[in-house]
Amino acid sequence: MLKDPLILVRGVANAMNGDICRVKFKDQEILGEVISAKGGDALIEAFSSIHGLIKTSTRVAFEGRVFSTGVTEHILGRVFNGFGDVIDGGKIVSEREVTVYGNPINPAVREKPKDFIQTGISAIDGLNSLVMGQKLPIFSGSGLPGSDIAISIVRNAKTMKGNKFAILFGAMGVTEREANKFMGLFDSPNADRTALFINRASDSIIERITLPKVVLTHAEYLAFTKGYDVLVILTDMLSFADALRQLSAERKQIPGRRGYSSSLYTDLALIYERCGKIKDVNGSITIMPIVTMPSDDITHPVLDLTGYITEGQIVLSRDLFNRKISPPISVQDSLSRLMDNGIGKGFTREDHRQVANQLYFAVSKGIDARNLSLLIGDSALSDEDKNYLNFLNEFENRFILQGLDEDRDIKETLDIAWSIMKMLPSLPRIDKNFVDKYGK
Amino acid sequence: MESKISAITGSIITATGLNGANIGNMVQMGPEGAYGEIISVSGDNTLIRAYEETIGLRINDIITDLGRPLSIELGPGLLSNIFSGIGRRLDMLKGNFLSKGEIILTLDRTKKWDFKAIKKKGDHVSSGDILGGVQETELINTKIMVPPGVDGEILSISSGEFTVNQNIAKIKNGSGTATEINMIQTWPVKKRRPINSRLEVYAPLLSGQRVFDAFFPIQKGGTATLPGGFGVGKTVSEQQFSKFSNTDISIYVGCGERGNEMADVLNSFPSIMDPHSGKSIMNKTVLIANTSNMPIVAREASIFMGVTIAEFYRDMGYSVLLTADSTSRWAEALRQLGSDLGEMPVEEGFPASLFNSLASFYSRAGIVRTLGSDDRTGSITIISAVSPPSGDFSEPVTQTTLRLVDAYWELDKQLSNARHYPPVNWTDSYSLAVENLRPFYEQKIGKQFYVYSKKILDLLRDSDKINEIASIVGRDALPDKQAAILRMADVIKLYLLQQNAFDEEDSYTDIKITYKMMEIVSKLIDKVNALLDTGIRYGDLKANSIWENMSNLRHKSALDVLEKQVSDLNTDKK
Repeated sequence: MLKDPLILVRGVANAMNGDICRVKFKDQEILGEVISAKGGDALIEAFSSIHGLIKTSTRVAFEGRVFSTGVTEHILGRVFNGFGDVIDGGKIVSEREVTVYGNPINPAVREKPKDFIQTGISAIDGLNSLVMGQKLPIFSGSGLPGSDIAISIVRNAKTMKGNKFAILFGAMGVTEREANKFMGLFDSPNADRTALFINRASDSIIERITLPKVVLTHAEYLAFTKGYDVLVILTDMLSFADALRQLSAERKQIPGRRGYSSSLYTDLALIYERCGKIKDVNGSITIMPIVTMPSDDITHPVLDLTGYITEGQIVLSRDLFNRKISPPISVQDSLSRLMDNGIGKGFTREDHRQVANQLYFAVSKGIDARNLSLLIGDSALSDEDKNYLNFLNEFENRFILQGLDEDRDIKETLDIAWSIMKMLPSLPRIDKNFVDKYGK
Repeated sequence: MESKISAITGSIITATGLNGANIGNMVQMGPEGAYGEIISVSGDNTLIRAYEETIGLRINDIITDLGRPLSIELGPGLLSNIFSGIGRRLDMLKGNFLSKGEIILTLDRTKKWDFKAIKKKGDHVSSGDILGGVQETELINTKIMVPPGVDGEILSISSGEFTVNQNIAKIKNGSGTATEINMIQTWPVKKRRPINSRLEVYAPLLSGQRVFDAFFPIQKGGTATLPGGFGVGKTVSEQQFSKFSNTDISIYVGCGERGNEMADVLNSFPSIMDPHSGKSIMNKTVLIANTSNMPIVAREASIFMGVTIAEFYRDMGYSVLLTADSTSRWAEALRQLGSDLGEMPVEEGFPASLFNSLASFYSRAGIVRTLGSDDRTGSITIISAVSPPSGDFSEPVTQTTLRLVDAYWELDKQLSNARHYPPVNWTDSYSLAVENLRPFYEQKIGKQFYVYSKKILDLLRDSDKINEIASIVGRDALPDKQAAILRMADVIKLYLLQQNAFDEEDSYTDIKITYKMMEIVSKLIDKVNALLDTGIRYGDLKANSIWENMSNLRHKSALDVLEKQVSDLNTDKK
């Protein structure tokens, strides 16, 4: 039976679930994977389109291995497709083959994420800090610069620890325009520590689903065998989930919310949970997935389930974007749950936590004042409210707003915070000795 | 006949040749020995659901029937340790990653325990009678009980150092058959452990979390659920119960949740002191971890494993708290399995059996008279987190759970956005045990407890209505009494309801202190209302230092002074 992309093969001896096979037709050969087996039948999902195949003259060879990828440190600086094949024209020699499905980290040997990763973006570093071993997604809307922020992070990301650092960038279902933008990453300061895995919108959905597993298999090798701190950026997880939905429809599975398979939570967790740190092992995996919110809807299943699994979220705001405040990161809606593990003395600066608390507080006062002014007009605001409103404007224009190429170091971010906090009548959330030391 | 795999679809395996197998029995499959469970038998075909990844299994791979359902070893060695959803002791596994088919050992076979017998040779004992005990941790003496189904005369019994699998006693029944007793009781997790009778006794489960203890308390043996969307602080709230509740034993099941969260629990729990004993809470804690990337079938197992361990300690006469985070992940596992089996889905794809499945878990809570002739009582309290999709409480798991539990503690997104923790919504939350607990609170804690709690809740609900008006006209335009209510509601929210789980003093509040705080707040309400009634304007009270002083409500040592300040409150006193 042939029904794109499924192939049913009869008379298979001892078919293996997950077996990789080669489907041969005339001079063509495509790869596939056994997705279910019954008696002598094996159902194969082809990795690319099977258009043009004819039932009688197609032959299938089973390799007797599950999907694997060749791991090596030499992937850095190179470009791959979603199956892990190098596509930049060169060749690569791998150290060994590793199956891409991965095994769960034993929760008893996990170590609490800690240490700071500097992204160069004040709204993230200052207020929603990324911590090594954390999974922190960016929720973007259509037209909002989610992928530009991703690029800027890949260009500028730094660790304070001084350990070997690698960035694996996985792009799923991206347009040609985006793909070209991502290729441009290789003239960035981080170029030789970055590997790019790319699956275009026109490429196969199996490749799209496989891509994050391949990327994370490399990440695990680099982090837990070679001792790198690895930052994995995956965009766009909505495309990944949509590919899964298409696959589950083809397999005639019972659809759940918005047609996604009822296993979506597990499917996403199997990706996101591969981050972390392990006791007595140098190295870590940090995951930053980018997820598009269809019609800016944060309750969409892919966003909702991502939010349940990850440790916080960075949310982009259309309002800020329309007012040309870029990167349009909404401080009110964003949260990094593990921030406290990566900031303060020894990581960033001793005043970091208190400065962040003061900013949250003042920003929320400012937003209240802005809402009130919409109802009753600017002139009717009390002096206190006016002051907070002015502060908010200054905060947005000086703290949040920065060029996409602008790489702010954390000291600079905190210093900007101090300079705008001068507008506040008092700083009740900050110790006096910090005010004396940094607030001059 | 050898049994073999004949079909593989997702986590469902079809086997042939497993004739005569019992439904529910565990099997091992393939060269790696991946675990699974028999779920149906029809003709020569047996359906198995795999507890582990099925990728790599082949048609015609050998299947071994282990001859018993998924069971847990009960005995000394559970406390202060961490187990997987199918009972593997995680800190004893080799390697940093979990792999298939590793031998399941729950209890350490090498550790020797000092068993002290309290029965002697010739005594007649029956099921549930305590033969003796071992000091498992600083806090808990684990009783070695006569297993269910065994009774008769003790032929021999000896105190001394034993490993769990060494025999400590021999019991001869009426027909003369002798049974050797060691310290392990192996028990199928889906089967309830037998009891003598259920009891109706009301004593509160107190956690030192003011909003729960004061306004929505449950009884020991009760059930409660904490539903909340992502990021509202479910896990923190639930862990506070796990750490500080006034139960002897605490079992924490991380079901389908984050690995880093379990790492955090393992990291932080040992240094947290139990407020009732002053010792580390790990002494009374059992941890079960089935993180979201661990096999999905084991999620259901993890919940039942937890409740079976709870029953074991209950049977010794202890009070046990089981916290499960999150039962939604378990329900989703049921949905996914139903889908793999081609079952007809009902609401939002969940199987029609959802209610029964959840009921089979919650109904294992309760306060009971245990087996055994010494008239012991023990209890299991269950607190579950629910993670409704998009934070929408009308979804099936939340609604089904509500039909089964005694208390509903709704975690409110708006409150958590305002950094109001724990973000318990005071309008929608409820506890069915409130009236049953009234005698206890009024006799043991304070006569006016319910008067104060009603006064405070009433004021909060009034303030919600006034707030709606204030958001349109501004606070300054409100009539005096309403403005004062808002101000007092702010005080209640900031200093009584909000509680900082990460602050040493604030993290736990003794119920007597909570009562004192409520008393001061109630006096403030009465005083302010009385002053306004005498014609004093709110404007004259507005700048009074009492509002600032109320922040001392959080400090135990400042309460007496504060109480005096409230009763001295006067307009001319700034």
